Amino acid sequence: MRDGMTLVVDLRSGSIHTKKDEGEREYIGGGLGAYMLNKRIKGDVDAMGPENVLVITSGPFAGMPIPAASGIGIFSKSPLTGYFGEDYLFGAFGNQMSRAGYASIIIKGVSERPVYLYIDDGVCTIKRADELLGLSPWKTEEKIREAMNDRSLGVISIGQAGENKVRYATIYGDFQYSGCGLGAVMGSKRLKAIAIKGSNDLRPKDPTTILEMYKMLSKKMEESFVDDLDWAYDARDKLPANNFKGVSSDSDVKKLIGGLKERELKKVSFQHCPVACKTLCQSDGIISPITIGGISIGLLNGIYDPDTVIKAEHLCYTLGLDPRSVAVVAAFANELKEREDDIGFDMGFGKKEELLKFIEVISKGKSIFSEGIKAAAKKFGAEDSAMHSKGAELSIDTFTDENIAFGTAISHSGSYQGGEDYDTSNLLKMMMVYPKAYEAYSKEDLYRLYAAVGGETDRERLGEMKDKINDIKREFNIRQGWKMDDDTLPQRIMKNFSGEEAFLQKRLDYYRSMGWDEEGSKGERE
Amino acid sequence: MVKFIFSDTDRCTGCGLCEIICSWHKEGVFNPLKSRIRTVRLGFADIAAACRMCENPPCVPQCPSRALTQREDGVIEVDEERCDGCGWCAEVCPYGAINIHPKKTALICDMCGGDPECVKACPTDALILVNQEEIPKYLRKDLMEIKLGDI
Repeated sequence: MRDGMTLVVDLRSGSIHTKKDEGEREYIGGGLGAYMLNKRIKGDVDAMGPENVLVITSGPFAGMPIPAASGIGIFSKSPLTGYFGEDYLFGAFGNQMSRAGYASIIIKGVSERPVYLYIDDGVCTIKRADELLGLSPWKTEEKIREAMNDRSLGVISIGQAGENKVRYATIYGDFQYSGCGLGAVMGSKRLKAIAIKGSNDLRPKDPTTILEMYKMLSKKMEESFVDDLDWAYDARDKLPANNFKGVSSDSDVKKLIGGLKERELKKVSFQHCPVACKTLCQSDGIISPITIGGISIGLLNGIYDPDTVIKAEHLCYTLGLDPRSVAVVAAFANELKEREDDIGFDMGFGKKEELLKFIEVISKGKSIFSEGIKAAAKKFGAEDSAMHSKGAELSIDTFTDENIAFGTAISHSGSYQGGEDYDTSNLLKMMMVYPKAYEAYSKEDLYRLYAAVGGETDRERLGEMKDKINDIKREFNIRQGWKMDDDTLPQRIMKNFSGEEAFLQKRLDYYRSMGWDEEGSKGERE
Repeated sequence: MVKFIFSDTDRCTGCGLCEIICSWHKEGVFNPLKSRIRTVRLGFADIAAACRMCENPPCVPQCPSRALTQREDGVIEVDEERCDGCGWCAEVCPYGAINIHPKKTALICDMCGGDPECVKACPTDALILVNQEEIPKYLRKDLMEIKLGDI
């Protein structure tokens, strides 16, 4: 395995340099990102100020024929939660970054003018982005690819919501969006996009094993992969309704999901993913990927009309908003309206046009609802109706799956994507494998692959590294003011499962298993 | 008619594994820039393009170094001694099926002797062997026109 380089870009001064890592070799992928962020953000900095940094790391399997593992991790102090912010995107960017030879990219400071970064192997340039302002992420991508005359570029970018510093703005890449408001961090740095191209050969230590495992893992992934529409259909008797206040009826869910499936245009995937994991749906000439985000917008807001859901998710993509957050924020606004609060919007559960209008307005960044659910709840004194964990709007699978709910509660970022076993999920994260490939990969597979690309073969050390990363994230959060009460869930979720007492016990057990003290602090373990 | 490698737009997801596999079997590395097949997303159509072994291939007479010759089975052979990577062949190929190796030689699909590795590796069975007349059956032009939005 090649030792990756670090690219450091200071947007304020325009200085760009590369360096070899500084004792960071013991961390990989997701762990490297956590380590670097923790090292650079010491005090309580403004998440949208010049002192916050954006760290991007590439996964150890990026560029290799390893299914659904072409990942990058993006790390920053989250403007949404004020805590550790992280998310993972898969596809061309990770592959190109790996071939360009970078293990990490660190972006500091705030640019005076809107810019984007263009990285061509060892050469990084800061380019003017005035003409890209206001464009949707996919249009931005298209324009940059045209300008560089290269359709294969890996691009991640933000939309208007990111530019307007909406606290749940996303970074978009290959039909995926990031959470934690990372788009607002990019926006606050006046960084519209990053485009990357790498041309170096990748020569893993044991290519034969990798190719053999590709076949085996692809097959397992095909057998086990469930896309968001099928997931929702299968969970149809327990999906939430109206801001998690109740359960959506079977017939309503069938109407929505069935309708979306009828409107399917094509399934697509990102690079090196053997299954077509995203469904594109079509309505009135509008085409949008439909994910759990769009489905949540419908369910939580009493809208079971597939056409509106397609328009709403399309709008989120176009503006660069996280549809999972939009769903919860809108549902919260609807509940306030039901309580007859004056929220400044004509809203209401089931009101379609009003919802679309709401999304457009909040993307401008001027409404209290653009500040995220936690801030809005504080303003309206409606904390009980605010469905979030640490400020991050809840995903609807926290309502249907106790493991995901608990994983979200104890997460550092306020969201959890993974499977039943947190340990395996953490390992997948560290190695940057698509969380939805959870069922296909065993820990053994990950260890074997990591050895095959030329990495550490000592499994015990890898296991320690994984736990240490968990410690690092916790340490970061404690410095940002995290308290044990942040590791919790709203009552509406809690009562869906075994209740508060059982939850507290489970949390305590988890802290102990991590070697933390009873308040969830890291304690003295070293 | 000669059969060549093409992708069924309905099945191809643009995963790009064919490129990686090709570079591995032909060049011994993982690098799509060294692949003889290329994937591209036009609109919403994912397409994998390899040499179509034209009846009168425009690339052959275009080559100023006379490095290209067409075999009887249709495969265009590249004489690596002669080829200097000028790229004129790639320029003139109507299907964008010729790539230039970073070390400056033309990369043209040779069908791996009749049993192409990329076809065997394609996880969605999107890669197929077709002749020129069968192309319209597998190419969804409508998907190529579609855009995600205007802003």
